[in-house]
Order: sequence, then C-alpha cells, then structure tokens
Amino acid sequence: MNRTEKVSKWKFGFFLVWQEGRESRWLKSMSAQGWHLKQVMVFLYRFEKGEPRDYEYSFDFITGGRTDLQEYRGLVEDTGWQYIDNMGGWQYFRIDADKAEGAEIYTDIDSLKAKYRRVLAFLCLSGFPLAMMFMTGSLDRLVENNSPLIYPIVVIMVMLLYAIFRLTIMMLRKQ
Amino acid sequence: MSRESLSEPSFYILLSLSEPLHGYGIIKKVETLSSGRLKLGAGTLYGALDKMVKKKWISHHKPGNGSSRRKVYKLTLLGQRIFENEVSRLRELVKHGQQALKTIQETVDEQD
Repeated sequence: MNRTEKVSKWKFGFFLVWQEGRESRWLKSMSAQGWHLKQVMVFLYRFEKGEPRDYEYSFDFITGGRTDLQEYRGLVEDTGWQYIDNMGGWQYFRIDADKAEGAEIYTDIDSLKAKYRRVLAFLCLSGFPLAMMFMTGSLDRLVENNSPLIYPIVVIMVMLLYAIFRLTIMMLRKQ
Repeated sequence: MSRESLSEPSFYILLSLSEPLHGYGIIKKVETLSSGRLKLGAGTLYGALDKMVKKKWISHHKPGNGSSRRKVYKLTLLGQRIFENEVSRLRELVKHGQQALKTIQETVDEQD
C-alpha cells in the first residue's frame, strides 16, 4: 500500500485544570502553523501537519458509558464542533473560528458551573486514597522510615489541593 | 410533585417535546420558537436532558429503525403534568398581572 503517512509530532504541554483558556490558545496557535491536534495524553499532545487553519478549541469534562459519551459527542458535533480525543474524561473539540460564535457548548451559567462541579468531584475522588493514607497514619510511617515515596505523594497532594482551590475560586467568580 | 417554577430553558425543552425529538432537533426547535433568542449549547442541553431523564419527566423513545445514532426523547406522563402545571401557573401569573395593570390604570385615570 502506498498511503502517504501524515507527518505528526508529539509535543509537551503543561496545562492544569484551571488553565483551559491558555491551553486552547496554544492549540489555536499550533493550528495557525498547520499543526492540528490529533491525540491527547497526560501533558503530551500529538499534532498532524496540514494546511494552516483558524480553529477554536474547547474542552468539556464528561464521563460516562460508551453509548452516553457517543450520544453526547454526537450532539456537540451536531452544533458544528469536531470531536478530537478524550483524555481522562476531558473531551477535546475544535471548530472553524468563523463558526464559533453562537456555537458555545455551555450557554448558561448553571450548566457551566455543573461542568466544574464534575471536575471538582473527580479531583476530590482522586484525592481520596491520599486522604485515607493521611488519616490512617500510613503517611507518618513513610516519614518515619525516611521513605522517598513521601515526596511524590506530597507533591500530588499539594497539586490536588491547589487545583481544588483554584477551581472553587473560578466557580465563585462565575456567579 | 414539585411546585417550583421551571427555568426558561427547561420550559422550552419540555414544550419542544410535545412530539418525540432528538437532541439537535430540540436545539433547533427551541431556537425557532423563541425567534433565535434562546440558543441552547450542546453541553447545556445534554445536562438538562440527563437531569430530566433522572427525574422521569422525559424518557428515551425507541423508534422502529435503529439507523440513527441520535437518541430520541419524549415526554412521560409525569413530564406532561409538570408542563401542564407550569402553564397554569404562568396563566395565573398573567391573569394577576393584567388585573394589577388594570387597577394601576384606573388609579391613574382617577388622578387625571
């Protein structure tokens, strides 16, 4: 088969949950240079080379079964968006910039806040094992034994707490 | 049954489901009915439908041909009653509003 392989590259991008605006501007600027997002992993993005295009990017946080997600993505696509990839519940979409106006995925403040509540619930849930370690004294034991495990655990805990804090502030500001 | 008022989007979603419809059909119908004033985003609608299914106001309608990837929704009996209650609540509001307007008008006339 003589199918021409599309040129693609991976790029590192460090964006945290409250930095959606910055992340979408970065993806938009990549598209302006002809690099269009194809795949998302944790802090890693795969782009494919194509014609430069003016795209707007948007992300939503939805988890659910396969058919529910299919229905949800179909509905978003019906309103003009193109689905790109899903990374841990984050759904990545893009749209031609000239069609973006009036195609917002969330059109009222309550549903937008519900989105951030889902992210918050997810973060709190992922912090649960750490909180359990803290409460059951497992963390104390790690400290006593000078275990190097304590450093990544503390970093993750601080980042989770900070993310929860930033998202809460963001939600309160959206009143 | 709750007697709280429906939000405008919820009201229009129930109204548009006077016949079975899929998500995008609801978005288009609400937009047309409100002369373009109410545009429901896909995420906003999806959340609202999800809530209404959980409250059993609407349910999935199973059409004969399974060709479409789109899920069709229809009002349940409970949904119909919620909608009827809301319409009579609004009718009462309008009636009281009109009475009050009349009284205001009469007072103004007497003062003239």
